[in-house]
Amino acid sequence: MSNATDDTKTVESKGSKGSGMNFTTRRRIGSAVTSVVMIVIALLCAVPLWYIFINTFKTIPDMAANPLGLPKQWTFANYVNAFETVPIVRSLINTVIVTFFGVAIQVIVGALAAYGMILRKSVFTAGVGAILMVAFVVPAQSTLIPLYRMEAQAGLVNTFAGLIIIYLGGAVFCYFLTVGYMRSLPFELIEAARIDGAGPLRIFWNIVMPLIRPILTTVVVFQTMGTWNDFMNANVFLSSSDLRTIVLQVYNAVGQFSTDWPSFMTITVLALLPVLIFFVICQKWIVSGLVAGSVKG
Amino acid sequence: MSESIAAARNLPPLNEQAYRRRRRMKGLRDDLTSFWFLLPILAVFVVLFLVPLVQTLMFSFTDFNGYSMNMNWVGLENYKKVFSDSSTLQGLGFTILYAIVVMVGVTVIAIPLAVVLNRKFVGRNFVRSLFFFFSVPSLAIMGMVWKYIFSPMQTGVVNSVLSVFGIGPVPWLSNSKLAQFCVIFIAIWAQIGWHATLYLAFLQAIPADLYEQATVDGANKLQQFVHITLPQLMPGIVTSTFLLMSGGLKVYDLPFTMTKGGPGYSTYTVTQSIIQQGIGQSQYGIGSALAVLFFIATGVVVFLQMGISNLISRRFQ
Amino acid sequence: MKFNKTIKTALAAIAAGAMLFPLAACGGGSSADSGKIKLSYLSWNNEQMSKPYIDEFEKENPDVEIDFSYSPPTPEYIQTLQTRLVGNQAPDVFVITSENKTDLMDNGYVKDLTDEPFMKNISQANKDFVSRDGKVYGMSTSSWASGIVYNKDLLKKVGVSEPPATWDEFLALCKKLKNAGITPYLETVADGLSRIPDAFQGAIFAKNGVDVTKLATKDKQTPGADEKEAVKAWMEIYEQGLVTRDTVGISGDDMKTQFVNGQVAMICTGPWDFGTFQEASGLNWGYAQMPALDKDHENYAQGSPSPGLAIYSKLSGDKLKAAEKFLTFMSSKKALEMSSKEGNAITVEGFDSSVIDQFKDVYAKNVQTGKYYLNTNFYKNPDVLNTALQAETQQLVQGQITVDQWAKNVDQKMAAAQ
Repeated sequence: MSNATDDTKTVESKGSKGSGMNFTTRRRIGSAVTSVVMIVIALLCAVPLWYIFINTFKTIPDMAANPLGLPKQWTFANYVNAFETVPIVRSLINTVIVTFFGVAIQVIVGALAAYGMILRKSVFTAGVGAILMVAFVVPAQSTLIPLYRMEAQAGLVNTFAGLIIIYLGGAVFCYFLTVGYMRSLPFELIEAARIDGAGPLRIFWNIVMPLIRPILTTVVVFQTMGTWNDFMNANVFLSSSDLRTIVLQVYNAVGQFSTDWPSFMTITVLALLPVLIFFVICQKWIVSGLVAGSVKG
Repeated sequence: MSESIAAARNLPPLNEQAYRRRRRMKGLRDDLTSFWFLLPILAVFVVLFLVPLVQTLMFSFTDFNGYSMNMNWVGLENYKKVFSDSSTLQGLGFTILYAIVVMVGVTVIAIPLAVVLNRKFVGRNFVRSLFFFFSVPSLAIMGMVWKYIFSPMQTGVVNSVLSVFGIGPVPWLSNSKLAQFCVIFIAIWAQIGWHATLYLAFLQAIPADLYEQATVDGANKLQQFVHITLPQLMPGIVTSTFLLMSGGLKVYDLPFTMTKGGPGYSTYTVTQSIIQQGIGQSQYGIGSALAVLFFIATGVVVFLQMGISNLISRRFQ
Repeated sequence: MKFNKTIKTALAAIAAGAMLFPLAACGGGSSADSGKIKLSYLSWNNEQMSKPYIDEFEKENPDVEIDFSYSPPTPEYIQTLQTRLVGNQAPDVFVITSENKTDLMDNGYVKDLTDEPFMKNISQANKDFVSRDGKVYGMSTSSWASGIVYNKDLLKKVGVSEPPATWDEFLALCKKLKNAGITPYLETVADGLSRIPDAFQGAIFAKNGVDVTKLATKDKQTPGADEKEAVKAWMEIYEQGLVTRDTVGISGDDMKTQFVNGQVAMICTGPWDFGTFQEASGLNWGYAQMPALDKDHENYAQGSPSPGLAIYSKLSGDKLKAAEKFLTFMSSKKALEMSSKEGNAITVEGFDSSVIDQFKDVYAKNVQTGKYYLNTNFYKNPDVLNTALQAETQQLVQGQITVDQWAKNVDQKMAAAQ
């Protein structure tokens, strides 16, 4: 299956059929130039990330004296200290639970809604579509107190379930991205399945879900980052120390007047490592052209 | 559209009336199916957005202070106060500037970036991951890092690079205009990676044969980009600019961590005003009124923007 | 298809997780033994800082179990406490500080502690910080006071051993340093007003016999007009070009870094940065009192009592008793010793904090005597004042407005918030 817009490859195969080596060589050089240019740009842009990473191996004075360079003397004290003082593993498990359920449910809810929207154009769906947009213009902070009171009455504060419910608000975001993507898909595929007499849920699961895989992965990755990193809701809705998520632990280093930056950065690195790995694993699903293959014929 | 064609193919009409009845039946069935699919999100919407929003609306007519549920009805008093506060108006200026410049900046950079990231080259995964990761660490920490990078002192990162060329020191964060520039620059930096990833996903939906055909027709890369990629990306552009616009108008964290709204009021935003009045200054009623007004204004802007981009995208297709 | 397989795996994981989920959710603190009194405590000190006190308290009081929760200072903490109070999930003991004290007192969330035995030795300045109409609502046991941190080696280059006592002499020293090619002084106005005007203002109020605890009860709040003279004097350092106007965009961390690297001779900060200075090898530093406005005024510092502990007003019976026990413990010699070891400057009568050498002077002359002042502690609507001070001061330092306009704008913002 060829990548939909991977023009390099498309042209390459054409080139090798036609004028031969010359063209391919030029392509290869082009690709090498792209590599060099992109890697340099990316590295330049990533200086702030480097700053965070490298300073976790320094002491405070060393960081003050030499913020961007390699440490004069590598120290792992920040990491040792983090593991000694903060229940990293426990917090990571908490975060995984909350993030997994939060994201899984909201993505499913969002994708179902997007399909329901595409399925039928009526006054009802148009109305729902317009109303859902409202969710994007509500500033989160202004609904915090009402939400908290609601959950308190339902006995949901200070539980994972309560926090997961708050995260379900992200379903509207998933819906919005997915519906935009579905609109760009060739509708013939779904129609074909409907003619075959498949039930709506089966079509959704077997046809629609694989088709929207790139956007679903994008959404999952994005919402995972958001949920994993959420500070405000976790801070307000969870109060027991046993339930704290990893991002709350990052803020352990914040004091009334000053912040212990090396500690802050170290726990940040520990907190973000799992999501970085998650992204690296996921990104191949964003870019593999299913549509291209199915439509071509 | 294609729906009715399919229906027609599926159920060849025996006679006009029966056909109409069947079509209506099918329409009803489809309505019902689509309703079931939409039900979960409607529940989410009602519980997490509608109910709190109605409460916020109610608070906006009271003297609720955010601490005690004993509140009095004050009518439109809070709304009057919002309009008489000069800092909110100052905040509005920067908020609009921020939303527009960030939206344009991110879109203009993210689309070509996505096209490049979709090509095959050595180190592609690495580059993609890096760009995506810019916005992931918390703003508290990124704010600290950027403050150091844009420090107005000779020792700031940018200033020490510039001093090699004999320029500077530039008063980055201590000059009002430059501070606005810095905040917007960082916002664009933080978001291009993710929006490029979004466009990358949308690029996958473009049928490859369009490009093959164009290549056969002798179109060069630039022509392909303008005549195939851009028009085909329109749904993606609509989605992305909508997110940027609605998010940009609500912006708070980034300017607040970088400059606390300063110098003076140069990077003060409307949401900062809502939060400061609602939470910091225990005038939750006024904060709510501001939130309601802002909500309406943002709604209008965002819907207008949606309408315009939909119009443009129809033009293209 | 591979993707389907992934979905299946994911579903299996959901199912497995769903079984784990209730277990994990229950893990959070609901497993208290029934015999113990459970006291919930919301602090802004993190768990590792609070744990030793809690452990010690529970050891001394085996019938009480503390359910600890934490939210970092300051806006995050205020928001968490506010939401929990209005959502009827109030903690039994929590932190009261300048940013939320008015709201807590106005809405009757905090218990009157005036006649409690554990309040007997609390210093008057600390009581004044969280009181209204003669009633005290919080227990604060320590204070902080700002000072001038100076680099001894750099000062020695112009033949001076420590910063002088008055503002004029201080400006003269800055000039001397500047002429010697040394950056004399740095501060930050990125987060609000400089610390110097507050130090001047404390002395001015003291000299004029103004009772600062009455400021907040005045109908017309005029912090701008009140502090105008002090601000005018402070602005001299900018008018004379002795400090860069870039202080508007310099963060506290930035300033500290400059000092640690020996790029500036003096900065104005507080005891929270001592740790960094001590760790910096080869840095020969001292901590001097803030300069006085002139010879007729005393050397005040910008400073404030540290946040206090408050008891939720609706507590009664065993829980109230447990809460009182906890505050008694937190003011006991044992707890104060622990707090002192962390570097807090204790102000409780009859207790002498052991502070580091550099701090001794300021601790004796400002902290223990209560000669410190922080404007946002004494006016209504501290958050309005903070926001106004920050924005207007930045415009002042940038040279966009005059001191008179500064005072007028600040007071207008205060009036609008009434």
